[in-house]
Amino acid sequence: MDLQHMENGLSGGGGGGLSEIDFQRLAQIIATSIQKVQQNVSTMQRMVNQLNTPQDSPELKKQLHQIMTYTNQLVTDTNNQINEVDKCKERHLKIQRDRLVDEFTAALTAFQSVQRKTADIEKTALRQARGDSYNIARPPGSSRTGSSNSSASQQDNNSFFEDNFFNRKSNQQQMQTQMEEQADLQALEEQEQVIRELENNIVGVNEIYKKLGALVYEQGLTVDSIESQVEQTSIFVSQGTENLRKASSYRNKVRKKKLILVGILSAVLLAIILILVFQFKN
Amino acid sequence: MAHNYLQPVHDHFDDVDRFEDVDDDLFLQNKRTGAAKLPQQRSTNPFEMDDDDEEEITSSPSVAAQRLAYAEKRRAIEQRTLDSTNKSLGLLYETQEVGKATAVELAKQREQLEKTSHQLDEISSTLRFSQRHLTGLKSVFGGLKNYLSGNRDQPPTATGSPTGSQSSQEANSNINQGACGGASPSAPLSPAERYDNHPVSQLRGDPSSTYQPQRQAANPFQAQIDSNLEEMCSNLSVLKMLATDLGGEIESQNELLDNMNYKIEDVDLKIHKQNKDMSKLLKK
Repeated sequence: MDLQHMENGLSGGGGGGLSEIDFQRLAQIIATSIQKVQQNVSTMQRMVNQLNTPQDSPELKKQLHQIMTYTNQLVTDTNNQINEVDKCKERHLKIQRDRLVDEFTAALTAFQSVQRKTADIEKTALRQARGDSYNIARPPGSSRTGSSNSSASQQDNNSFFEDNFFNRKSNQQQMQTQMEEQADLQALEEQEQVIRELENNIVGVNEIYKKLGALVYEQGLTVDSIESQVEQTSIFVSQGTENLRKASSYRNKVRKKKLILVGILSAVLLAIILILVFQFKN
Repeated sequence: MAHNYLQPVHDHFDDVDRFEDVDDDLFLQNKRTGAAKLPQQRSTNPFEMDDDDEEEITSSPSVAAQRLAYAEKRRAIEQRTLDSTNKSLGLLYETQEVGKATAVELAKQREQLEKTSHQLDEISSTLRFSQRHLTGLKSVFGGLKNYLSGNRDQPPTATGSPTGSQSSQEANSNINQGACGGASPSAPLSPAERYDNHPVSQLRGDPSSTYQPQRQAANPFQAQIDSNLEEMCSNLSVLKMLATDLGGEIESQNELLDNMNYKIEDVDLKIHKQNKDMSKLLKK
């Protein structure tokens, strides 16, 4: 400010069409407008993000359009003010003007991108309504401008219809592709279901085999026990038979001895009897 | 600086044109129509061409996103199906191992049972000899009985030969049962093949009919699934034959156990009787 005052003092009463005081006032107004535009753009950005979400509502859309309209008006006014600021000729003021122009351009670019997003969403949601409004909107434009603009409007109209046709065709192709994809997914899921059932059956078979193995193992233990007991029985019976055979042989020997003794005694008695008979005859 | 000075002016000129159009349209719409259509027309008119471009750009990413989601779903389902078939194959191999071990165990038990039966036969003949010894030991006239029973040496031999013939008949019956066991898997084998092939043909039929247009894309996955299914089919056939053989073997062993039970009861009675006789002799 001191520098500006000094320059003002140096230049004295001389100057361009716009005085420095007026320039500073306009610059301040333009800076304030640019800040407002930036704030509105961020607000609109947030609202656009909320579209097509549970937070979406007609009231939200109404607010969005009100802010957009206000921002359009503000941008127009700011543009006019910047054009007016161009009249200043001094060098340092020109630098400040360029900075303001850059800021305004950046804010304007952001504003345009938000407008495009909003337009995309509304076009997707309200295609038929937009077509009707387009038909209604075109006649004022053509009547408003001269014949040179009428050809431009015709080109716009043709390009619009062509784009609409291509969009419909691509949409049909997308629908067919989606239906085919869904059918494929469904078939894959059915296949997976069948294979899972097969897996469950195989698990059942595996369990049956395991149970059979366990039963056979238990039976093996029992059979081992039976085998060992029968083996012992066989041994014991063999021993018993052997003992009985010995007993039988011993008894036979005893009988033979008895018979021999009886024979000997009989012979002795017979001899004695014969001797007595002979002595009695003498 | 001159370029910077000129370009902004150009931008402003374009902006001025656009905003003038907007103002005029808004002005006319305000006059002609009510407030209902204002937001639609305001939002749509200024950037018509840009909107078309934006729509095209927006639609292709959405289509690409849908295709990516579809591909991911498809890949996930295929992966789960493949994992399921691999798990099934693992279980089949495990089941086959268990079945083979069970068969080996049954074969060993069969040998043990046959050996036990043979021992019981020996025990029976041994008991017959011990009975003769006891008869001889009972009294003096036991020898005469033994001589008379000596005349009966031929009848005991005859009774022995029927026992041998019975055992041979049992062996023949076992062999016949084994043959029947061998025949029975062949008889139900064709229905088994039908039964095994039926779900496999269903599994093969559905994906093949469904994926004919996309066979090239799904070829490696489908080929792997088919090979797994064929392997499962062959393993299931082996398991079925194994199960049939195990069943026949167990049936024959059941009959062998019943016969052995009768023999054991007979031997038990003989042993008890001879024990009584020996007790009497010892008392004398």
